[in-house]
Amino acid sequence: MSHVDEGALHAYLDGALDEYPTGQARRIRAHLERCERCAEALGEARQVREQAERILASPELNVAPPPLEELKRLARSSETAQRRTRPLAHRFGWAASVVLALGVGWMLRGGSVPVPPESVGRGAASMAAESGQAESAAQDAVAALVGSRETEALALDGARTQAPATSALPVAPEPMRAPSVEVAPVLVVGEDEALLDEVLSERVASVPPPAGALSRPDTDVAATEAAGAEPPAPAADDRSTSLSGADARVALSTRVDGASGLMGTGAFDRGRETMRAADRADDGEPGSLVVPGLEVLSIVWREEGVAPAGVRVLQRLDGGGELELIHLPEGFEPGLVAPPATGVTELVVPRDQGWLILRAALDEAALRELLRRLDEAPPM
Amino acid sequence: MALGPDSERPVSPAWGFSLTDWNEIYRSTFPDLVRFLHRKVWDDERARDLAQEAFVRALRHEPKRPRAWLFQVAANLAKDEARMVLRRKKHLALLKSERELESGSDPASELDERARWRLVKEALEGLSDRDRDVLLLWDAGQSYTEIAEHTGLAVGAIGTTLSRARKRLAENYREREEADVARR
Repeated sequence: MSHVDEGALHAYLDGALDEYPTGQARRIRAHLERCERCAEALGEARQVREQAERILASPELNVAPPPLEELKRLARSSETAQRRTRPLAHRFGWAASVVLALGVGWMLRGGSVPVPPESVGRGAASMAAESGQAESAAQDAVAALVGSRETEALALDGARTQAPATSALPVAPEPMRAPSVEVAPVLVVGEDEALLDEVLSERVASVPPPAGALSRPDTDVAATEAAGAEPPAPAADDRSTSLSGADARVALSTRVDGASGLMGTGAFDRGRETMRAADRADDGEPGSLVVPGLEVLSIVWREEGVAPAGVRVLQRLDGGGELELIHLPEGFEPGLVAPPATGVTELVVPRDQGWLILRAALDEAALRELLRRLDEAPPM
Repeated sequence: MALGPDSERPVSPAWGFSLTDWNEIYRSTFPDLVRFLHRKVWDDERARDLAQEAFVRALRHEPKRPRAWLFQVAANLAKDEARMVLRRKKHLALLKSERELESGSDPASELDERARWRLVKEALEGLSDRDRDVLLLWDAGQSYTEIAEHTGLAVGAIGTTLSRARKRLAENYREREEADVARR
């Protein structure tokens, strides 16, 4: 046999030859016994190996492990927490998919042109606002599927509020991905509550919506912002973008990633009814980020690829003001979140699956009481 | 229960009744895991925390091949950690590690030790990701088969990779040591 290569010499020194394919170890050993050149190479390899071992030798680390029982307890509690928290992102994740699909499908069908309220007066959106140019704007919106990139959260309620600071959520590390296909914000607004319930309960996934069912007389289904456009500013005086009262149901803004599918940021303003509807579509587990008894104003989540990167829940406090709950999954730390506004108290609580941050203009005791209510929330 | 690199273990998904001998795995693997993680995050306390986290996850998931699974998860945790530190543009772990050394009782030897660890860290950083991973997995007690499984390399390529990594490590360390001496 030819001389033994360096890799095999290191394997010999590491006692790993037996892990080599059958017969090879025997041949290497036999060769080393009779070949002076390889014996010399073995000596050199031994020196290199010892040098590396010395370099990597460390002062004794204090690695006394905690009791295994303690870790088992943590595993059990995190398993419970996982059951309670994951469905939240997942169920709204599919809701985003469904609504996005409906919105894009609507555009592709050449139906009414989507117009996000915020983007009136800008690019394709302003074109869309003018009904005579609807077709052209629809084409722009579809073309934007190829070239644009933006994710903008939004929360629509009677006051048509801008999405509350999703920027407070951390930006997850940029994952490896294929070139992105990105979508301008797609806004879907519906007035048919029954249909929206269907959207939220997944039944609509297999039933095409009847024409007009998801439309408003003046806005229909809406999108969009041309590629690279600035984040839209509110246009409160434009009737076509006025989303108020019971008509404002669900709004989504999405980004589609070429490799990893949907990245969604969404907001739901329908409170617990919405959540219950969504719950029915999932496994019946309650959202553990909702304090019982407080009105839910919005739920915004962020994902990186398929991994959740944070959920933010806004609830109205009994005495006025808002409670903000941010759940950060593993891999993110509270220090990455923008600090609270002046006068807002923050409570940061480690969770088995990450961190929970509560913020409100309350004192710490009141925040802790809300945390207690959250922790004791019974299953719906 | 003896552990082999390819040991398949019957497991029960139900908590509290696992056929996996977690006591044995914990006893034999925890120190190796901390050692492995320490050379990734350079903070012994953080390495211990991440090792615990890896075990908590393993206990939850009950993987069929716990040891290999643990190292895979630990490597991912260390990567997340590194990304986070990088993103903050702070070297908190290193600084913390230095602070801990500073709190000891023999300042001269601690200084030497700290300088040495800086050289080790820099020498390791001079390796390719793959070479470094293979070297650290070996250093943490992984077998060739386990390393191969972890990295996707063939078993026969592990020795070659280790040979290259060890040589490069020794060279890098020597160069930095000489530069250090020249600066003094």
